Amino acid sequence: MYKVLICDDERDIVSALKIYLEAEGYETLCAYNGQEALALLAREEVQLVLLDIMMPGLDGIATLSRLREDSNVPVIFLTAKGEDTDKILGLNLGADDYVTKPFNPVELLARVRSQLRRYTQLGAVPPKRNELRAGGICLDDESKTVTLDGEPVSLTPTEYDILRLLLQSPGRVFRPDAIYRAVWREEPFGAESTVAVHIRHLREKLEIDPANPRCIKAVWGQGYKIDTNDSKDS
Amino acid sequence: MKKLRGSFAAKLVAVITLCVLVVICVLAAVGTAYLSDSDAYSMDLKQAEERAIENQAIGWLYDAAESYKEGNTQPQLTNTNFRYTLLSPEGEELFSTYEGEKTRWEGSQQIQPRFYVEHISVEYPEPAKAEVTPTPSPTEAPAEAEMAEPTPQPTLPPTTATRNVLHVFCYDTNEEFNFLSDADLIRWRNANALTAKGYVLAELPVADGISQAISRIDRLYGYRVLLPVAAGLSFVLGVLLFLFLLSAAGHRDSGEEITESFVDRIPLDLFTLLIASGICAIVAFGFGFGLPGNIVGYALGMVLLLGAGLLFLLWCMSFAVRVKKKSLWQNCLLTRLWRWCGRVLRNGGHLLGRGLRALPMLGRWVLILGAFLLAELLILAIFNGEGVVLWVLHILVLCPAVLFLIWSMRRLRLGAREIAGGNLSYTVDTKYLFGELKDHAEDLNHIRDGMNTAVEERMKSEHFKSELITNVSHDIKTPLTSIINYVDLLEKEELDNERAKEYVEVLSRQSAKLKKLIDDLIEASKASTGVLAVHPERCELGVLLDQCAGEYAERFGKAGLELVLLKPREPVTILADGRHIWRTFDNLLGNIVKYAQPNTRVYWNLSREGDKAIVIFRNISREQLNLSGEELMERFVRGDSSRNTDGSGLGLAIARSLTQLQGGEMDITVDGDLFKVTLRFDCIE
Repeated sequence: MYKVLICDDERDIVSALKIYLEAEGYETLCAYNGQEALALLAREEVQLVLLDIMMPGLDGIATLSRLREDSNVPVIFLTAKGEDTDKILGLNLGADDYVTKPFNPVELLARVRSQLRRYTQLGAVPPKRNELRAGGICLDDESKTVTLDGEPVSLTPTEYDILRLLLQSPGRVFRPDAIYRAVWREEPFGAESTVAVHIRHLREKLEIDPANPRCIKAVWGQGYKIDTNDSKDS
Repeated sequence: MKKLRGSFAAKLVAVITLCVLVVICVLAAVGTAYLSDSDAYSMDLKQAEERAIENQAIGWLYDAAESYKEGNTQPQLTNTNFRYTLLSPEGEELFSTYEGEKTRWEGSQQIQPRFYVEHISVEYPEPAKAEVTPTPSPTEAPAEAEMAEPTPQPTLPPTTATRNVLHVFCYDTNEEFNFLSDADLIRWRNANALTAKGYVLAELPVADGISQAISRIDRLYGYRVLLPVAAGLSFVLGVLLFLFLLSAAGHRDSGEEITESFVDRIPLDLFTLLIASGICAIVAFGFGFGLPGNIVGYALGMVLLLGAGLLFLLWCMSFAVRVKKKSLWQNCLLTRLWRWCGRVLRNGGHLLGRGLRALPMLGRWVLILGAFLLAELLILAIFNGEGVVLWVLHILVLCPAVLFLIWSMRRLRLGAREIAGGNLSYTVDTKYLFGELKDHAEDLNHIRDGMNTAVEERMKSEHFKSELITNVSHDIKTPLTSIINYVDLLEKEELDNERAKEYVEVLSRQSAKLKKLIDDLIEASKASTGVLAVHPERCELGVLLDQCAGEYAERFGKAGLELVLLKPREPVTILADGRHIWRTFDNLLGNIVKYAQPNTRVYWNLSREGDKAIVIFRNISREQLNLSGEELMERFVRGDSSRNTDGSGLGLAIARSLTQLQGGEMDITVDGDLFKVTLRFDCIE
């Protein structure tokens, strides 16, 4: 039984989240500002924190930096601002993921599940040889299998090849024609958009919100890359 | 008058009449002059005849004397009624054709030597004594020398080494003399004058110039009143006609506008030169060949005169046209040359200036000052060697002063550059600056203060705007989150009431729509207020189009649309923020998926025109579009009047704002059902 701490100044949102999480079988603790959250964290063993950024008193950013002083617990930011600067700041301070308000309950639960699985399961498993990891994605080149947060994902051979290519050099931007040449082993001749279609499929299989990917990212006008900045686990 | 002005015939008639008038005027004037020369206006016919004879005879007398002086010993004017006798200054007869015939007229004339005078200074080796020194030996020309020698000048200071004298060259004898005063010259001249006596035979047995002159006087005397009147009248009429021609020049077909003929397009100076050389050629022809002194010669002379006159008239008329057209100076080779020279000088100056500017400021001024001083030194050295000491002294004062000035100015310049470059914490040091320069430095500091304030204000306002949007967004989104979540929870409740279930469904749908609307609204206000940060990077549009096409492949397939992507082979690169440009294309493609007629093709072109990258989206609209492209880009305007699709009406407005934010332009054209979006960006290499 995982314990999740929900911290938001809006009580209705806290209770709604409580209902969702308890329906999924998680135990919940509620806090309505930063101080309360820190106090609860000091007392209780918690596996995940949902933290609002904009709160009176101690705000989410400050709470996170205090929390990170002595804890490694995964934190998901709830943000209404949707400002890129806030997201980047939060992620740099040690948040593991973020959800933008108004959020989709399904997406939120998916992210909670993913973070919990990564925190509790994967952290312990030492990486194997021939294994490529990024975010929750793990590609085993020996068994030719891909798992997302420990759960197997079925990919077509083309998708597998593209993913392997991207994972081999995380952070490097691959042009669509370069991907085409490497995977199809022939000249694209105007078939570059095929690459984009496959990338989109990959994202649908491996990202919680394919329109807003955290790992398999498009660098518009340049190509695609595996983003390692957001994912601290890899 | 206007009609006349435009008519070619009128001008032709005017020109011909003018020619006739000129002929009349010239002839009448010549006649009048001849009559007045013969005193026909103050005397009767008899006396006028006598005067005409005298004029002719004296003229001949001179001719005969000059001919004798040139060494011609033949008797002159033999076949005439004229006889003459030449006497030396001493009264001896030198030459004579007169043999005591009966005469009608007798007269005598002093024929003085022909000479040339100039004022010169002459050095005398020994003072006094020889005041007049004939250059050649006086013995060669005894008569002249004798007269020149006895001119003692007691007032002369004996020690003078140089003296101003009149230097005379006599053409008759090819001799040179020096005279001390005008009186001496006159004395010499009179003493050497020949006396010529002339006689005209009575009865005039031969037909010659004299008998002609008499018959001419007889003939003209009757018209002696008419001739000047005719000359005056024809002159006045001629001037009037001339003025008419000037005013008519350039007019055609009674219009007011001025038409230039090909003559008027010749550059003025070239034209003037042509005309002048034409006139000169005519005159030279007239003089050069020496027209015969008979009626044919006169007629030929008249024709030549008329020819020259017509050329002059042509020039005057063309000049008039040019004045009227105001093209007097424009159409002129010299003007063009002058302008060209000006341009060359200016360009040269610019070049020199640029070269100088390329030097560092101090070095440049040292160079200029050095050149100036060197020039000054040269001038002083050439004109006055003693000025060098003065020059060195004033340099010692001037140089440090100028260098100090330059140093001060350099400091101002550096300060201004710092401030202009955005360093608003820079203060121009006013220490060691004086007067105007100090004021200037203080002004610069004030400008900096003003800019500081302005920048702060601006930052504050920007910050305020972005804060406002963020806060409003937060305050709206928080309750919306609750609404969406609780509606979702309500949906999951076991409701036995069918109607309640339906209501919950409506709530769910509408709250989702509200969410989308608010997201777009916030996005739109961010984009249009410029609060959004832009991080431009290289963006290859061809790659971007492929990426977008891949993203949208399935949605296009589902909507039954075929995407036709056309792009050049070579890469087209722009500077853009990848996320913003994706958002722009996302909106436009989403728009197409939503509003395009199913089973049609969507054309997506990328091209490069000069330094502009152009992306064009074209699709066939499903609904009839009653709005212009400009109206469609307004916020909350939607092409479908029913407004039942799930758009917010902000997609195009956001796309445009984001495009502008990245330095691009977006245009929408609606042509019937063809919906066309054009994006333009600046290319980089």
